[in-house]
Parts: sequence; structure tokens; C-alpha cells
Amino acid sequence: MKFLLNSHNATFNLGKKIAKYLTESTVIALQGDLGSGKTTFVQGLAAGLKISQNVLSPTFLFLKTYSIPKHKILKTLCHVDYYRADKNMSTLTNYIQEYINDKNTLTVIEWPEQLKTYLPKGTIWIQFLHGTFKNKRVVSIVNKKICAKLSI
Amino acid sequence: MFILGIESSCDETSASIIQCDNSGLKIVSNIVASQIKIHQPNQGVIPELAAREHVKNILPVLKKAIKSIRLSDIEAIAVTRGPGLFGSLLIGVETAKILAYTLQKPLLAINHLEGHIYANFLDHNQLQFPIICLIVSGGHTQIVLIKKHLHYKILGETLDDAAGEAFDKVGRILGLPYPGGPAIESLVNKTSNVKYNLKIKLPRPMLHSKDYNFSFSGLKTAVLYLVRDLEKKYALKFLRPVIAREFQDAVIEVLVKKTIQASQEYKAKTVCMGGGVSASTKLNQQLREQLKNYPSVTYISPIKSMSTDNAAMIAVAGYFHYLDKRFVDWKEIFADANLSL
Ligand SMILES: Nc1ncnc2c1ncn2[C@@H]1O[C@H](COP(=O)(O)OP(=O)(O)O)[C@@H](O)[C@H]1O
Ligand SMILES: [Mg+2]
Repeated sequence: MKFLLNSHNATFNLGKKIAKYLTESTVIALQGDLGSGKTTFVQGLAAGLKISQNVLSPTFLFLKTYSIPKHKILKTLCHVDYYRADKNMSTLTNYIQEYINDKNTLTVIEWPEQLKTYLPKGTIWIQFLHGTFKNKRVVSIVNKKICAKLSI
Repeated sequence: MFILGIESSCDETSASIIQCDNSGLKIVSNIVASQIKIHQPNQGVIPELAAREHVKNILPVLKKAIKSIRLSDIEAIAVTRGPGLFGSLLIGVETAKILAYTLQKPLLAINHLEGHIYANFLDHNQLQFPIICLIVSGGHTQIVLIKKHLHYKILGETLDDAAGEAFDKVGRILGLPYPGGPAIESLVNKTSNVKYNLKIKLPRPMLHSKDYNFSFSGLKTAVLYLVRDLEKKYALKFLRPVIAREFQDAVIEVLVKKTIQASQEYKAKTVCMGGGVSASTKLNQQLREQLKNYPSVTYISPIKSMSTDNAAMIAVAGYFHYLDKRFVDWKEIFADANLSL
């Protein structure tokens, strides 16, 4: 499913909307170049989950966690950024896997390519592309369940 | 009185002894083992590597730091508890706990950002409150108000990317080496006399917002668009210095304006900086120049050696914790990667 998003807010709102459809522990993998809107999307997700803290770029620390208030199942949002990473990082990878395996955690990963082999089958892959014009982004989602809900 | 400081929050392993008495604070030793050479090819810090290097470095660094004093002369042990990389923090924190236990000395848990603030007390142990401190690094961009010792109020911070992160990412877009900040500054300085007949303008994000927050992700994107458009007509080699200069100006203009604005609203007597980006000559120069218009404010230039992470600044913050008797129990202290001020 493809979305043509014309503004920062459109991307933010897509994240916010998808947050409503997440009912269980999930991994979301966000692919796309610098500035394509991955962090913006996660900020929307967090808003949709009623997280009041500012979601800042996790690039420097590789991983930031936020607690999710008032959700039946999801308690923690784990925001990972593998931008500066490398595949031989077992400590970090193990650390991230603990979140992935946790039944109450939503794990969202920017630059997920190097982590591919560790991601579960049900991972929701989302691709962000720069459009030909400023402020335009093309976002594609491959996930039957989410797409079904989004198309209603 | 001697205080031992230990810092391992990111990619520097460091231990320091400072001497504190009525005449002021003096660095006896400040040993830093930096991993920048190991990390450079990968454009950033790699936690696995960083943690291993800390394990390797911590004891030799400690040994060097305490060479000129006796262990029993150490009055207290200060350590960075967070924020930072979990695996890295752990090494320093556990080492400090063992030392505090075996030497039977008080343990002081320090926030890394407090260290950046207190580094400014090294040359001037009497800074006049209220203080406004701009903390700018790869992971942080905050304006902090300090009305009295150990009381911090974050007036504003970045809403997305940190300033140092923006320098690194723009450096990458422009094909410059890591870290981006120094690479951009040195390119700008090298080409400062060259006239380019290409006029570009980048946005100054949130310059006029009435708060003390920042946003640098839009600036990163603006650079990306600019390169994408202009590369059709010009070689990147030609564009690089022009964009680097305008980008550096944009970041500095926003940082300086908001810092000065905060100093006025909160009637600060002192303005200072901390963190890696505070090493920027241009930022320092701009802040000093513009603060000349506000004679009630004393501007404290950052000490060059304090802009990179080091344990002396942790020991200095530790000294003020010590005076306030903020001792912590080693059984109850753990590394906290997400710690805030
Ligand atoms: N349609 C859009 N969707 C998302 N971001 C957009 C859009 N148009 C402009 N932007 C801007 O692009 C930048 C995206 O940055 P960010 O979310 O940090 O990207 P990434 O995390 O992929 O590097 C933000 O400054 C945002 O305001
Ligand atoms: Mg991002």
C-alpha cells in the first residue's frame, strides 16, 4: 500500500493512525534515506500511543525507550536507530533482541537492514522515499493486517 | 582534598584527580583514552567496540591518574551514572562502586551533563548565579538555567536531532570525514578568503519561536534538497565549502540567539557552554561578541580540553555533590542510559 504524503504533518499523522491498530508486541522496520521522515513517523506513533515525552532522534545513543501509559498490552516503546551501527555488535544486538522478544514492547527500528536476520516474521516493513518535490514523501507499507485497517 | 573522577559514558575512558581547597580547584591528573581512531572508519561510536575498549582501558587509565598521590588520600569517588551508552557506562560505574567499597570512601553519582556544566568552575570556582549554560554535543542540545548549585532547569532542548548530530549528518551528505563539526569548521576556515559567486540561504529553524527549543532535522533536510538541486549544475567539490559555511552559520545563529534570549529573561549573571560542539571557535566567538552588548552578563569561554568528555569535569561536579553531602550507597547505584538532568 502506497501513501503520497505532502507534509511533515501527513507523515506524523500516518504514524499516529497506525499506533491505534497496534494491539500486540510488534516490530516495525523503517527503511529510507536521511531526512525521508522515519523519525517524524515515530514521533507520530508516540503521540498516538499517548506518550507525552518528546521523541528525539536516537542516532547518538542507538536506542531510546519510552513508557506507554494506559495501553492494555504495550508498556514500552523502544526506538532503535542503526544508522551508525555495524553487524558485528553482539552486545547491542542482544540488548535490542531483549526488547524485540518482550511481550509488552513495541520496537521501531530506523536503518534496520543490518538487523534483518534478527527480526521476527511478523515485522511490519515500511519504506520511506523522497519525492521529486520538497516536502513530498512516498511511503509504502507491506503488511496485510495494517493495510486492511488503513484502507477502511 | 583529592577527588577521583571516572567517566566512560561514550567513547572516552577517563580518570582524574582534582585537588579542592580554599584557593580553588586544580587538576592533578586527567587521563583520557580516546577511541576516536577506532571509530572513525565506521562514522560513529560502536557500542560493542566501545565497551570492550573501556574494559581494556579503565585500569591503566586509573593507575596513571592516581600515580602522584596515595590511594588513601582520595576523599571521595565521583562517577558518571548516565546518560550515555549502557554498555560503556557500566564499566565506569561498576569500577567506581568497587573502589568506594574497598577504600570505604563516599561515592558520588554524577549526571554527565552536570559534568559539562561544572567544567566551567575549573578556572573560576566562583561563578555568579543565575547561570545559563548551553549544552551542545552529539547527543544533546539544551539550554539549562542554574539558580544555585545542583539545581537545574531545562529551559528548552532540541525537538529532534542534536546540533552535533546535525553536523555529523550534514558532514556525511557533503562527503566530509567524521566527526562532521570539526571537518565543516576547518573547511570553512580554509576557504574563508575565497569568494564564491553562488548565493544560497538555509533556514534558521525555530529562530523566532518564543521558546528555547531547537530543531535541526529540517536543516539537515534542507541541505539534502539543496545538494540534490545544485548538483545538477555544480560539482560537489565546489558546493561543499559554500554549503558548509551557510550551514555552520545557520546552526550558530540559532544557538547564540536563544542562549542570549534566555540570559535576558532569567537575568543571568553568567553564560557558559559545555559539550563537544562548544569547541567550535566560531560559536564561541559569536557568543562572546554578541554578549558584549549585555554588560550585566559575564561570558565564560569554554576550556578547550573540557569540550571532549573527560573525568576532571565529573570530579568537579563531584566536589559540589560532596559539599552538599550527596553521597550514594554503592548497592543502590546503577548505570542509567536515559538519565536526564
Ligand atoms: N512529507 C514529509 N514527511 C516527513 N517529513 C517531512 C515531510 N516534508 C518535510 N519533512 C521534513 O523532513 C525532515 C524529516 O526528518 P526525519 O524525520 O528526521 O527523517 P529521518 O529520520 O528519516 O532521517 C523533517 O525536518 C520534516 O519536517
Ligand atoms: Mg532519524
